Amino acid sequence: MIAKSIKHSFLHKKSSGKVETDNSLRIYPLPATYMRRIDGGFPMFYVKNDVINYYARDKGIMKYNLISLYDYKSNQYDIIVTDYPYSFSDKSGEDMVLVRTPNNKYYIDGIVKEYQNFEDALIVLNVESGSLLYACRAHLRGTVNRVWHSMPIANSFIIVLTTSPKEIAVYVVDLINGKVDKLTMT
Amino acid sequence: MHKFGYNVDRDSKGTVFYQKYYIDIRLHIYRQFGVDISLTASYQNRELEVVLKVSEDISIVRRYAIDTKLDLSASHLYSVIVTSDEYMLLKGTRVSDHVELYYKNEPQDVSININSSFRTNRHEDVTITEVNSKYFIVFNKAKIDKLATKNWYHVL
Repeated sequence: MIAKSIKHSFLHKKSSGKVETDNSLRIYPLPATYMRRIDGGFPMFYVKNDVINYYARDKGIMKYNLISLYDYKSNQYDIIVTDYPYSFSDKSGEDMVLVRTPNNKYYIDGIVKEYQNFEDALIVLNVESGSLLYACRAHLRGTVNRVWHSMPIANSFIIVLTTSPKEIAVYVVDLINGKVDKLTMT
Repeated sequence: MHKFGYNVDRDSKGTVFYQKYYIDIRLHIYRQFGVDISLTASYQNRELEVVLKVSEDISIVRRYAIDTKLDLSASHLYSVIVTSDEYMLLKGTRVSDHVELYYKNEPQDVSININSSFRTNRHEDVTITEVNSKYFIVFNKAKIDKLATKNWYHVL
């Protein structure tokens, strides 16, 4: 039986500072998901397999973010922690694609307005390790022109076609092995 | 001028986005190179083949195989909301108000706003997704076919 209510964390102090409910998980049809930001902490409660789960972080590790892995087919989800500055509510750029590879690696693939030294770039990033597997700026004069990129193929490969004043290049991003192969014609 | 041609032979078995995949892109780049190039990529039987071709004489072919020890069904594309025959609904991971509709692997130029009308209901073997008053209904065909008696209901 799923509990209808849960007790607030002892970290919660009603009169102290900002209390904010995060709506980010409301996009999923999960009735018992609950998320609350509190001064100095960020406890999160969620229900999975009829069990209330609890995740907390404090100021010392606020650099970490949570990514919800919701599976529409099975109606199940998991939470993973990443230091990638991911935000569900960030509406800049395109929607991100989240994929789990056959060898259980998690990647985000999509166009971001800004990340590290990249602007308006297509990135493929391992969200668990935080390592950037591939990045390509888009449509900047005199530099690389990103022409096309595929959806993940067999949840294992992403293909990117680019042109520049010097070359035509195809990048095959191998998500399983964490490698990028370049086919180029100059 | 970009010419994108898609020809997809795909079954919507479930967890893997494309069981079979074929894409053919023909690109004419006249300013820099004055050439027509083509990119073809095909995936089948755990192998991806990519061909970049400038002319009949100049082409690069690479093949990438997936280790047979890996279980493809263990992978998952979280953006897939629902698939049915050649249709697929995709939703990114952000709180955007946009859902993409794919037909035969090609994104359709339709505006789907999930804030105005998006709902998905899941029963044991049936998933009903409503987008802009259009319904996508996916059911477990194997179980339906096994039923000795079938009652059909039409919902208007």
